[in-house]
Amino acid sequence: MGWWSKARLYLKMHCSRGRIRLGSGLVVHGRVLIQGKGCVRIGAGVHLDAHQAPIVLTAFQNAEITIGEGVLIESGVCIEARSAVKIGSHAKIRAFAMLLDNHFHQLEGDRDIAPESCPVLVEDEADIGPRAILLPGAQVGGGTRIGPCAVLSRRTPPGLVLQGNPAVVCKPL
Amino acid sequence: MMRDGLPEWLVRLLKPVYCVPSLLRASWYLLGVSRGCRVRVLWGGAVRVRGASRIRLGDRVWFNRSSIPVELICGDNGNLLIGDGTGFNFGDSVQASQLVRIGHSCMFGGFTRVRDFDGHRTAPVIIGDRVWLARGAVIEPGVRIGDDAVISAGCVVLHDVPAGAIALGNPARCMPITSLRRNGSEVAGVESDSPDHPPPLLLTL
Repeated sequence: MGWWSKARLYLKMHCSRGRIRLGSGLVVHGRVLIQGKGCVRIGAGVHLDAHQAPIVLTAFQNAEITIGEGVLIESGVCIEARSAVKIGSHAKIRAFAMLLDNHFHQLEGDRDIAPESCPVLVEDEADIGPRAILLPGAQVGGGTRIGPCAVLSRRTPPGLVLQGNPAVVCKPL
Repeated sequence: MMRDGLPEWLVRLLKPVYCVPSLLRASWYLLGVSRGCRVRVLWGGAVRVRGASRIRLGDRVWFNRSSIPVELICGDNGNLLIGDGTGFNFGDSVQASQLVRIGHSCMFGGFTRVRDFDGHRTAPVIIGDRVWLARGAVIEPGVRIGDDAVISAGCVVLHDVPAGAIALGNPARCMPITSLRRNGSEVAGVESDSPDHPPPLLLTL
């Protein structure tokens, strides 16, 4: 299935008028869905491992998803961007993690209107644990490890381990 | 989507035509489920149903387009009631062995789980009207959620949530929505300089 999925991605890249860019040495297993009208940039040597469940990359209009070099993205990861989601090089996004830069509904008033979005940034060599959720405004520092099922919506310095919902600092790496 | 470039009046005129495939998908995926009018499964979405005869869906319930199917599971003596206009996102799972009642106009984000038994005890789950379950929320057995409540992302709800409250964290703690503030953009226990962007409204503690 990997070659077929990869072929579909390359076909999509060629039909996208430069919106989608795939780097060299891309490794794809399973289904990868790229949705929306925004830009998706995937760097060199990225490993998209969707053996178990499809990876969904959704970039809405005027949004940008940037994935750096050598990033590992495991199955079921869901990245949704309305402004920007940026993943630094050699970061690891584990299975079923979610990166959202918008809450998509307002808390008060009309819930069909999406609130303003806030970019999500994952710096180099960070490690997002399985089923972790990065909410709008999350900025993970370089080398920081986010534990499994953690929920983060703030900025963290580099080189720490965070766990829990809400995510708190456990220890230095 | 093709309809994005069209003028508003034409979109409204074509709406009955656009929704035909989703209505047909609903009649295929929700075979045997008693459901109201205009129940839709959007293009690409899938629903897995078990115990179809004991599930009741209201009018205009919709299932979003998705890569991972929604599960509606109802046990032999269970009842699964879903109100009008409730929407489900991908990967949701609703399991009823006794009673799960969901009110009207609720919003379910992706990967939410609602179940009324956990292998040890069975207690009905009742969810009010216009409740918003954000992504990855888990509702445990015996929980009642009031109208207009918001369950934030990744929240594990063990106790009742009053109407108009927001539940945050694991285990869930409730607070009135009005008490949320737009400050504190750093993780607890860390001191750092101010962020480069205006902090968002935090939907975590």
